[in-house]
Amino acid sequence: MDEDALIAAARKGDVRAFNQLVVRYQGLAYNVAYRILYDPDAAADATQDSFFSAFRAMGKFRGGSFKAWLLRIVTNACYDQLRVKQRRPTSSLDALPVEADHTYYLEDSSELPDEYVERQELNRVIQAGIAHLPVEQRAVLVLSDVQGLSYQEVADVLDVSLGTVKSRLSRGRAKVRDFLQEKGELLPRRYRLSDEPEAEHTGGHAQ
Amino acid sequence: MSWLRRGKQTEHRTIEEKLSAYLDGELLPKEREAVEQHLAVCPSCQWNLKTLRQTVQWTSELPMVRVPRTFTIPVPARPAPAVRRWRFVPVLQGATALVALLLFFAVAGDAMLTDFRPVTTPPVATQSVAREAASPTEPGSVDVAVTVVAEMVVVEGEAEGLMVQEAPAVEAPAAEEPAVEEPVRITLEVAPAEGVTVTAAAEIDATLAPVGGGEAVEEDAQEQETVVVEGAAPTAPPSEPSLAAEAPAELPTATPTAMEALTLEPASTEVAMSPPSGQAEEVLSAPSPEPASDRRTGLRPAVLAGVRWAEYVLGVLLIVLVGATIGAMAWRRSRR
Repeated sequence: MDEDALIAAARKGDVRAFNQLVVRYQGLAYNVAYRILYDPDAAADATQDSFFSAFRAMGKFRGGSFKAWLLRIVTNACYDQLRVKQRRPTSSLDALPVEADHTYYLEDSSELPDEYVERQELNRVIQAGIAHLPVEQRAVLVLSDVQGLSYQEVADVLDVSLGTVKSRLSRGRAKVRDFLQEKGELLPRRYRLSDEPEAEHTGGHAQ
Repeated sequence: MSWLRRGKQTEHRTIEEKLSAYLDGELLPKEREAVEQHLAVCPSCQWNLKTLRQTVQWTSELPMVRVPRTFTIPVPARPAPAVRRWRFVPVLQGATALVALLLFFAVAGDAMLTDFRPVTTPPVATQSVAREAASPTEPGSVDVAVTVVAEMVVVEGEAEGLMVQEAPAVEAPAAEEPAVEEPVRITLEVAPAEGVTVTAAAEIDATLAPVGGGEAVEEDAQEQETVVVEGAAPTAPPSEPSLAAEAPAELPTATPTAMEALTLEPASTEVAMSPPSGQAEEVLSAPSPEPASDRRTGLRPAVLAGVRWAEYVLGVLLIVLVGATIGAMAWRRSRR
């Protein structure tokens, strides 16, 4: 059954049809939540909440991109989770279980175990950098750079302008970059960013 | 030159902010041109762009994490059929109890109607003629009820011997008839008929309503003549009179009577009746303990027939239900 038919059936309350949509999108939804929240349990809660909310709100879905509509619900569920977390602060982000219970798909089977471990360390730092971003920048960066959505799609999901997407993404990327550079000494050499050339900010290039 | 430096600084910051979009090819051609011109002369922005590109590259290579579980929504519970299946047994049990109760009432009612006397033993046709004479103080109104109830007539043997003998026993109490309210019961035996099994239930309800004067004697006798066992076998003698016709005819004291309604509907085919006088006498000798009103006694045989029928139906139903209940309970236990 194609997606439109499933959506039409789900709008009429067909749980089975909706569950087919869940199966299609739960990977995306969970990954977005996981990257924004950096907490497997909270991400699972946000994902489940999202699908329940989505099923209840199916009647309000007025066509367009189901993916964008669903991801907006997911990001809102993530904001709710973060609000709950702020009310009951747990340990610091660094102390959170860092992808320990998630095995990564080896994208290149030729990667040696050492390289695999090193790559995991890089990913951990990137994820920590994302987690340090303000929530709005985090959402934009996850949707755009982690999930590969276009600027327009991100703008649709978050219901903001293209300009807002651009500026949030620009600031978010810069902060992650800075975070990477800061933690660079912990990383293998090939995952270190080169040092910034000195004194150019002072206008030396203007001469 | 400070204004120029400030201008360059502003341009640098503007370009810096556009590097992210430049990376994604999201700039207008004019903007892109400006960025490229600035990049050519700005090592800081070159570094900026390079590191941003690397960061974005690594970020996009973050792997997809595996979904820890499925997030499908539970389909509304469907053990409804199972629940319905188990309710089957209580319903059967209830129905069995109800039928048993009804059967009890039917038997009790039967016993009351027959004055707790055992039903005459087979062989098997029982015809009872109940007559009640009005009390002598009111000679103008007499109700007579005539009922024939024949149950489960099993006829075996030959058809030749078909004949009806009058019940001689009736004559004896006839003289005293007006004195007592007394039902007259006559038991008829069925003579053997050829290999036929007949089930018959017959009922006569006759009410002699008051008629003015004594005009009715002849009419009475005549109408009673019509009370024959309809549907009798063609082999039976045509003159075969019904018992109901004989019995009241020998009650001369019940003169001011007229029959208003008289029906007889036997389902039997070959029926011959020869009452053994002994049985008849036995029945007659017992006085009715029931001082029922005339109208009630008129209805009683009909009720009795209904009760007997109900007993039969309820009995069969009870057997079926008990069997079904036991079977269903055993099946349920085997399923658990």
